[in-house]
Amino acid sequence: MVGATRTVEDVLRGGGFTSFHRRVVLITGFAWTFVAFEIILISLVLPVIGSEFGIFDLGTFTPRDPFAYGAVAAATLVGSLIGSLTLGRLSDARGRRFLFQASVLSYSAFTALTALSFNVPSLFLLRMLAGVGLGGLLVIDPAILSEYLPPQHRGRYMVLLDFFWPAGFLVAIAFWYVFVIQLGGAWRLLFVAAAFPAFIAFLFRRTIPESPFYLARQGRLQEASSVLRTVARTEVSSAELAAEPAIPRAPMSALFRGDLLRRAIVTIGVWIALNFSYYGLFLWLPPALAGFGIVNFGNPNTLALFLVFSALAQFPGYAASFLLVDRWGRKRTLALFLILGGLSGYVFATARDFWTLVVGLFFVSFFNLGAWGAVYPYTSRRNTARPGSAWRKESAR
Amino acid sequence: MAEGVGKVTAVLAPLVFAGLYATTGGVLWPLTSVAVLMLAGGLIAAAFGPETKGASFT
Repeated sequence: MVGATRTVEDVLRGGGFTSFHRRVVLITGFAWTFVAFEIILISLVLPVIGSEFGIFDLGTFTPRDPFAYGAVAAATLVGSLIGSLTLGRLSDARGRRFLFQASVLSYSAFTALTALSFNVPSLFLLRMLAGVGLGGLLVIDPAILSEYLPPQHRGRYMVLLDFFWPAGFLVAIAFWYVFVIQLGGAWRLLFVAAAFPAFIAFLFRRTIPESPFYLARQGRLQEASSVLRTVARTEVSSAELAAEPAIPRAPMSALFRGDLLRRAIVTIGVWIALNFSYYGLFLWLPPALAGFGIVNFGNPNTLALFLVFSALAQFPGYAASFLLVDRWGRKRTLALFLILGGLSGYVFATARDFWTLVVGLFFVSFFNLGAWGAVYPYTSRRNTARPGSAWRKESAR
Repeated sequence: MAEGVGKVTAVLAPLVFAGLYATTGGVLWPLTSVAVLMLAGGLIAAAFGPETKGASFT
């Protein structure tokens, strides 16, 4: 009889990066792309919907009711907050696989139902309900990826996941351009079409088994060893596999004591700065660009070019951050990107001519998204520590 | 927990932007607030943030 001598982490480490991991990276990456797509989409479509519901003036491209406009822009994030809190924890208890699929199907269904909105409150409610599924995916998707990856590759591929975020921005722009610009404001049709990420749930169901960490924590070692044979391409029997211990939950007050106090305060400050700047800027980007009065956005192609330009600037931002975090340090990279993002944001905010506007937009997008790439490894245990609770994974997006 | 605070801030950001937009009637101050917060976050991280490379939070 062989004793329980190996943990899930040991097996994953020994198996290295396999073809299975390539599939998981792609599927979780697609899911991440569509989360960004769903969150950003409303900011592009809202002027047209707002015009129909009386809160936006397309003639001047300014909101008639800025608070209603801001509330609808924030609706998905309200739902996302609820979904992260509830579905993330639920996936710890019920398994990642079911909750991943339920989250995808839920946000896809409510996105399609957004087509039935008939006034501002109904639009807010349906976007908020779509956000619940998105919030679940925001915590479960990275949890799934980290729980399959071998620990020696975990940090690199978790950061790689973030490269899929600006791709979602580009997909949202493409949808907006086709349905709103080319098809003459067909926003209802757009939301029906935007439910297409539902296919990921079926792709996932066919490809990805339950998390081996989850199974081992539940004492289902037979199933865990079977999954690990598929994932790590190595022989492992249930008899030699150790059950995963339950995750101890430290009290929140522990973060504000001793050595952790300074780090906790700095980390909270950085997350506030990043979230405020990203969602403040990008959820208001179309009317904000028009508000300068420098460029005539009466031609939607011009607005499309600015939006694509902003999205494209985000890729090299992530790439630069990805390289600098390891070579130069997490803190220095994060601080530098935030400071330069703030300075270029100020240049953008005070632009008085075309080229200052373009350069300011490029660099504020570049540094803001680069800072997101640095904040995850700066904040999280995930790159060095073992996978655990989905809620404790990153995902403050 | 920091991420949780971040999520609440994310919800508030478009509303604060809206408030500043409605109060000032333009995008200068809302966008300036975005820039100032990023700058402040960077300065706080530079001045007080410990390096976390290789460190565990537990």
